[in-house]
Amino acid sequence: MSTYDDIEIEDMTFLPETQMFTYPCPCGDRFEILLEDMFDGENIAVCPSCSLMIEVIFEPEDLAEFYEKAGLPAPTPIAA
Amino acid sequence: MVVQESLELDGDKKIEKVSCGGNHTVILLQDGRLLSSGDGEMGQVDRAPGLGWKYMETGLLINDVACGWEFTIAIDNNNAVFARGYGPKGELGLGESRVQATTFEKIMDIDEGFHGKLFSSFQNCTLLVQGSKNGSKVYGWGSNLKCQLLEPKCKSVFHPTLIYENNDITIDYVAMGKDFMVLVDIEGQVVDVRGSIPTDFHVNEWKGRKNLKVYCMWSSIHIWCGNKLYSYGFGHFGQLFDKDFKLDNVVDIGMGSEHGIIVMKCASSYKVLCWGWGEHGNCGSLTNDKHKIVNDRSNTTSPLNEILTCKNVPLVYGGCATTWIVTRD
Repeated sequence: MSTYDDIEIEDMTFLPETQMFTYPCPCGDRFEILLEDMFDGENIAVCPSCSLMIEVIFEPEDLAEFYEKAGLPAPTPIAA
Repeated sequence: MVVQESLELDGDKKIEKVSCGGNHTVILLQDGRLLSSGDGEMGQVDRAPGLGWKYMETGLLINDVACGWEFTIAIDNNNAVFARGYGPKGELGLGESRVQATTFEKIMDIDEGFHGKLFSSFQNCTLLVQGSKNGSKVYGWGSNLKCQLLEPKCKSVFHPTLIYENNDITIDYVAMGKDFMVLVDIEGQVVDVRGSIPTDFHVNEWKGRKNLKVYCMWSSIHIWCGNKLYSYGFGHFGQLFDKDFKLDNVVDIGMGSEHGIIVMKCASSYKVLCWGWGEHGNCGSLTNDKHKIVNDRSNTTSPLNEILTCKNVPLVYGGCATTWIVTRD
């Protein structure tokens, strides 16, 4: 599978209310990926308006601060 | 997909420039007024009911304008620089505490006697200031995660910051991609590159060569040299130009987020052709159905494809999966 780009997690925008990361897509919409899905090992963010996808570059331990921002307890593998 | 007429202006209203953001488009008229269409939710253009073009109520006479992802920047006839819209990464240049503005707010003044030009892409802005003699300054603001503005890396540059100054070299324009930029001087030489430039682009191969024209999509650099267009960067969707195509009759080139546009003289007319990522119909159709106005997905990855013929030389601009052609027939 060929993705449009590889994007580091620090380049993405985190929305605490929906626990979603977004990044602008060249079509004008935004790539989306849920924090929970990333915790489960997903690293592909998809655009709801086109076929493009990006690969998100992150380490599992990067996610802890975003659980905190969302006001949620970090799942045990990260918290540990 | 057939090209659709979006706007017809009276003959006395001349279009100076079209600039495209993520979901908004602004037309600068030669009389200093702005027309806008698209998303104004964040204040990047006037919030107005309904679709279509509307004059922006700026109270200003605008000399230059540029759009980025969710913001618009402008210079007025008093040499003041303004911004509006949403810029969480510093794109408005108004400071860390001002990341949204629903009308144009002044960022800075350009000194009297100096000429300003604005450039923008994605989450970055640059202001080029030229004097009456040699030399120039470039100010930048917005995202700096890839050091596209300056070193060291930082998340955001919230105020216009001097990123280039030279008393001898006069920069002509700044070609900007998503995370990089190329400074080109008035002799058509690549003077400087910043940020996360495509890995296959080696600036030393181009330094010292004159009469180059440099264009950027979000993820690629394209250099018009002689009768060839040399492309570097992402090409998964056909963005890299055909190396064998000769530009002998090409008179203009424009760039969208991930597609390109050329204007070619053919006998007594001009043809507009597009290439690259055309998923939204922005590179036209390969099926030649002259009646279909809905994108048929025939050219998600588009070879160079003719989309319009004009009598007079048109102006061409690209946005996020959009192509804009100003005809003067």
